[in-house]
Amino acid sequence: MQYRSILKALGVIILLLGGCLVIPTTYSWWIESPDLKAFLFSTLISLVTGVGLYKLPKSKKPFKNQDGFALVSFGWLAAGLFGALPFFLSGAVPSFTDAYFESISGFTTTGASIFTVIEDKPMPLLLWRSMTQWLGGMGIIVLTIAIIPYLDIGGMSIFQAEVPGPTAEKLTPKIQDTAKVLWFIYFVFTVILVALLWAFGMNLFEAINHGFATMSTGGFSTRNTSVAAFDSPALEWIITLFMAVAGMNFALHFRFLFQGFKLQFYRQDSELLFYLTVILISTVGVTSLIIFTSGGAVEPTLRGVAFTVVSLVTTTGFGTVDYELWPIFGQMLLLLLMVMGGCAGSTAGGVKSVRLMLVLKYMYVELLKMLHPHLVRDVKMQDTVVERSVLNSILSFMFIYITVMVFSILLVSLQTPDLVTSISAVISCLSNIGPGLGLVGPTDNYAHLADFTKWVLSLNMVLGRLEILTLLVLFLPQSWTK
Amino acid sequence: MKIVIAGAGEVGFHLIERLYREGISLSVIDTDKWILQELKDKFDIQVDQANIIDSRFLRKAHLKDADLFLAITNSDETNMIACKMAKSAGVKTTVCRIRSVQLEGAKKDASLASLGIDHIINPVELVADELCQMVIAPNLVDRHLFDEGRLALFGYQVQDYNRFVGKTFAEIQSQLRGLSISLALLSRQERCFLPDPEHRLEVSDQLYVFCPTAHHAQLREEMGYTKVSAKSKRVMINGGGHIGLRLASRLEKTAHQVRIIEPNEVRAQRIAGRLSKAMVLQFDGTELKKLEAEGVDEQDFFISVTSLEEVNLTACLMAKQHSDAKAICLVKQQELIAILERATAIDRAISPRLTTSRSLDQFIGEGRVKSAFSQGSMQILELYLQNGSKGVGLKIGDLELGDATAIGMVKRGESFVIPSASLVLEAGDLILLLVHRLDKPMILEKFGLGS
Repeated sequence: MQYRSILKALGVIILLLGGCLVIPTTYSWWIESPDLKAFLFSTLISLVTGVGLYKLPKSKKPFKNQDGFALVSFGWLAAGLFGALPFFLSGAVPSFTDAYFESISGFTTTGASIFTVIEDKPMPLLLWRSMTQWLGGMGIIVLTIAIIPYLDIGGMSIFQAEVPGPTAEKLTPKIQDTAKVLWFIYFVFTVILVALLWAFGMNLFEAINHGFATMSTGGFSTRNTSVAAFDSPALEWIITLFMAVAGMNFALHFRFLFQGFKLQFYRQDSELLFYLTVILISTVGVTSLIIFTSGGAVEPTLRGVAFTVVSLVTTTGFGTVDYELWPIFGQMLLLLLMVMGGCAGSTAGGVKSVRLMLVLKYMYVELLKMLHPHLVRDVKMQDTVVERSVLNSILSFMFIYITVMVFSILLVSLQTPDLVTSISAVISCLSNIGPGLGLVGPTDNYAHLADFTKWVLSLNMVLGRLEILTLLVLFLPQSWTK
Repeated sequence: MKIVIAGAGEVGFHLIERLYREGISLSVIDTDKWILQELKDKFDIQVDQANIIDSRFLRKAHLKDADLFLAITNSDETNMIACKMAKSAGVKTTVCRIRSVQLEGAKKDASLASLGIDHIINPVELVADELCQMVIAPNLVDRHLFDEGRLALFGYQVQDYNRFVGKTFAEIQSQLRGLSISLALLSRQERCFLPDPEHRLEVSDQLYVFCPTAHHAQLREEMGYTKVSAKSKRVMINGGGHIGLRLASRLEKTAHQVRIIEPNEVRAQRIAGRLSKAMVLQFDGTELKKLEAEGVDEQDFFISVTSLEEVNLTACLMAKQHSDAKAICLVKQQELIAILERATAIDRAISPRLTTSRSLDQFIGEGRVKSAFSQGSMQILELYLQNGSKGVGLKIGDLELGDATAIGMVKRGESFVIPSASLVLEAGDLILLLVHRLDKPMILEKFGLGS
């Protein structure tokens, strides 16, 4: 393990965070908010620590795989730490556990909050809260790669460690250009969304916050009742659309925007087809279920269901309706969708559509082989064979995901009174969604949970964001040997 | 006409034999001394032992005044380069045998032109195409394309459910007139002749018709074959080589259910990667137990296309024994086709060499006449009428072609005209002549083409 190189690179990441903290600090100064001091301190601490670490002498030893995993993991944990400073120092969140929970929930785009009341919090703090999501959405490591021209660390391996999905796609020959172009697309979409939200009735501050939280599939709102507070069908449809867009593979957006605006890039992608089909079937199914069981007008029900389904499948976690009032079947379906998540290479969490799709295809092939013992058939995606090694890693990923989920549920259940809450809180945090069911449902929050549970859930969020393996590999003793 | 052939391999040898018999001046190039020696002993042709992609050779060979250059070695790349070089040396037309290089899609023509290739022949493609036709249209026993594929001569095996059975040929002809389809030949009990309008069509006749390719579906509809062939059939292919793979990937795009057997594990993996719907089964196609386990008894077709004749034969006979499937066998020697079809239970046999060399016919012809097809003693000649040709301006009835000769189809401008006795021939017409072998010189004389 190259501690010095890792610390040096960590310094860069912290420096970057410090730089980002300047924005809410300036805003705080601009509106003369009382928490200016807290922000100034936070910025200062981050910058000083960052510079201090960066000034460490350069190590001549090569950067290895385990160093990359360690860097990405510690990078995220450190981001949570420094991101928590404004919450803690301003006194808005008196407990450090809560501050860390809120901050890591932001960076991992989970959107699980310990705020019982949001509206009374200072505005710069809410801005920072949304910003953590926006930064975490496309990834702080990817951002670091994009901004810092020459970070002397294995580019592709740490890129791969952070970008969700079975295989990270290099869109351009140089990794730095890929990181830049991803952030550029992300930025452009966010600007468009903010403009739309602003145009359709939000004020600029709220539009920016919701824009950040939507594109990153985070789900932090500036209102207690989330998007429902605006009571505007237009805004709900816009946010539904952009959540769905954020849940798509950004490589597709890249091809569409940079290679000639051809819709076929979207049409030919089988993962996208799977993802949209799941959304469509779930929406139509749950809508008709609700209408048949409890009646109601079609448009508001459809809008509510579509918003909720998209919000949970993309792991955003915004809410407009209390889905705990739905039939149990609808709630169970939502729980499954939460595990599935969005597409690979998107800002969404979960196990990703592509993995689920491939596992289903693999099941089909295995069943077929029982009928025809001599059959030779591979799992295919878009007419290309999915290699055995990729399939194996997907299967083991699914298994590890479930294992981590089960053990976390076990730990959480130590101090949580009811079953539904324990299970859904873990799924919700591991898939980076936010709201769950039971005591952490769409109308509740995480404030009442015990400290130990909050730490377990915080770890779950980071595990989920880094797709488990990156962080889990550090628990192997071999990672730490010299 | 002067033809230069590069590559005296399997296809080459066969082709040389055919062309030599037609009295065409041939020049053959190959690197193999022994094959050339054998050719020299057998035929009176010019041979050159040289590397065809050696630029020094370009001057030596008589490429400048050659009408046709056929690059048919076993290597795609060699053929492509040879065509490029021959074209630059002044050959009029080049034909390139390409087996595995993928040249499809929008840029096909441009890339071919840039390589100096005028026409491609792909033996794998040709055989797969023929086999595919046998499955999709089992009654279609023969198919020849004219005029760059716009017109076809279809040979149908007449079954009892054919709606034309029992009708006179005059009735059939009048029914098809509106579709520009014209009756050409009838083959009955090994004899081939022009159909007499008064006679009636019988079951197990072979009927040959000229049909614009675009009207093929209507022709099938008229005959009542559409319903029969729309049914999804089960096809088992033994052998996952080039031909097997190509055939399977064509058939899987239709409604048919395809199973393909390949014993080699690596190859099986590879073709499984290339196919999507077809089932790839890895075992030896002559293992009866496994064939039965995979449902050989439920198949409609069993097609064996491995590279080994004897394996194909065995597999087909086994399949025939244990199922009602129609068995199609790939053989190397064309002589075997007739033997297998007549003497064994195997329904059809196909020879890649024959298919390939037949497809080369379209490029070979004396000036304006192309000999395109022959069945029994009847031949079809493709004839292009120029300004001042003998026969231009005359009515067909006035040509006095005799009883055994007829004009099957006339292409005027973009349309196909069914000839009648009163039709006046014009310059620019493309006519398809049905002639008896013995009458050929006499008929050619009437168009001013006698030798």
